Amino acid sequence: MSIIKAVHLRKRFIVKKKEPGLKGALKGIFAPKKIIINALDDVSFSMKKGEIIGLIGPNGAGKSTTIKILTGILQPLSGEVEVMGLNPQKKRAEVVSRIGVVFGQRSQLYWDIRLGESFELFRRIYRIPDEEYNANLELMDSLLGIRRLIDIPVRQLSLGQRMRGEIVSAVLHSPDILFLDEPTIGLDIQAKRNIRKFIREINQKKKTTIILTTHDLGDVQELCPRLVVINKGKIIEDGALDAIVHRLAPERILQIDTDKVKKDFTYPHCKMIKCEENKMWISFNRENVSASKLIAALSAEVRINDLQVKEPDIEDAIEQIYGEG
Amino acid sequence: MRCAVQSWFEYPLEMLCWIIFIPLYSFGGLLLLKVISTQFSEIGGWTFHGLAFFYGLGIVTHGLHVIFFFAVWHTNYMVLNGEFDRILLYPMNPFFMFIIQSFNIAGYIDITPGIIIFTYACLKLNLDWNAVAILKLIAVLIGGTLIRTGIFMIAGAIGFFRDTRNAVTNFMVDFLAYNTTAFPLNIYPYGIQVILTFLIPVGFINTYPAQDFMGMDNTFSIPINLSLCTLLVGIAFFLLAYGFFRFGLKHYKSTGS
Repeated sequence: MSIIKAVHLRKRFIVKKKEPGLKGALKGIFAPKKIIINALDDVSFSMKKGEIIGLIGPNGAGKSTTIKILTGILQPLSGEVEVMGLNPQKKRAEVVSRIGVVFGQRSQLYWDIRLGESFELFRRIYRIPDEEYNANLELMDSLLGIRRLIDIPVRQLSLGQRMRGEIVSAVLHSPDILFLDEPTIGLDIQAKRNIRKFIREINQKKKTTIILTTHDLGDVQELCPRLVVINKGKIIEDGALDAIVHRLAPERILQIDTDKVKKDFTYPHCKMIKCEENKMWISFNRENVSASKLIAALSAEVRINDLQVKEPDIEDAIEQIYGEG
Repeated sequence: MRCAVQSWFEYPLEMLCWIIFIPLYSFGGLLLLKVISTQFSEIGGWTFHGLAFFYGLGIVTHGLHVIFFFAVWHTNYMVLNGEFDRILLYPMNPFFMFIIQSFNIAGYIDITPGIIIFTYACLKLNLDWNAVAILKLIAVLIGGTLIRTGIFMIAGAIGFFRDTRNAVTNFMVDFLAYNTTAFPLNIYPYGIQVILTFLIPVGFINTYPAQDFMGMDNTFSIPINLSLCTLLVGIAFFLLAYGFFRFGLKHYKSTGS
């Protein structure tokens, strides 16, 4: 039973193309050039309860559009959406009462008043029972230290503090699903770490299903066993993080420190990628070359002082994907 | 609602400016009517006190409109900035959330001169305030407020379909809602009266109700009681505008992020 189901989603935006200069501006008024952008082009995926997925992709790929359709803000052009068995466009109020949403680039807190006042407002809007409200606030205090911030006007909070406030306000009503759209954007390492810890804890303690979009691959690496990669409105990868990385960036790199390099060293299926005065880098694919045999062959020809094998990381894999798109 | 009130008190200087200038503007309009009516003795069958009644009613409905429905002034701004994202995420009627978020305490500054002018006119006119008259007045206030709100709602909701800037539409709409209620409709040419009665029903905000209270004739000899008419037209026009707003919300495009 999936908690989120999206089938063949399509969404188009019409953008008026403006030409530069005054002449272009005038032309734009009388004969606007319209371009249709396929923001989502046949997007399908589903999620199980309690899952965390990382939705990643370059700017303008369709991540936010996907979230906005799943949360009922936007109407899809075609396709079907089900969130907890309900259509978020038709049963909007019912769906949104059971989800929490944080847009990292947009605040849902009231700018001029103290943070706690916004929480009180959400308590009334969502009709949260006192017990649940207090318990959630307690939990949030232990995870994010929110009580220290509660009397400060939102505009005086730092970005990291405000983001904590945003996140708390999205989970006060114990949502079943939490949508986090770039929650770590612009935050320092400590603040990022806090938020990651929070995401992990709330997923474990409350079995909250979480969709996370981010440009920070550290977020993905630490939090998301499953990755959905979207580019130009299409889902191009969907699966376990390790498998995606392995498939897209199968090359490992062996780095050798030696007294005297051998520039013409060859070994089947391997490639010398760089060679300096006393260092060599050789890339190889672990499917058809074993590292120990490669090292053995090398040590027969040069004296190895030190070596290290660099595993491919998610950055390499993502670069690969974005490059293709 | 309390939040909106608290936000307002965070900026006392701004509040002071409004407190000084809005009443000046309102009383200035009254002064203009005074000058006109003393220069020309009467216009379109209106005495100065009749005009004050008419003008006061216009300001009171304007005040009620800006107290309760100020949000509709910002519809297209909010569309352009993707602010409806947030509103659509609350488990409540989006129009209600939209309205309640900018409950506008400053509206009291708008309404107070209106109440003063209106009360002054009532005292001078020696109107008989029986139960029927009071009910009529309530109907007129509700109707007039709804008509004003409807006009701004429709203009604002155009922003869901086209990118528009507030300045332009609000200028147009303000012209409509303010200037057309600053002078009684029957001083305008017939064609304009038709438009401002049947197409954009601003005539029902204050011209027709004032004529009803004054016992004057109206241009179109509308058979139903004019005050009751205002309420009915107000409700109908508001519902029409609400339908348009909901229709617009379905076309909401949000913004990139």
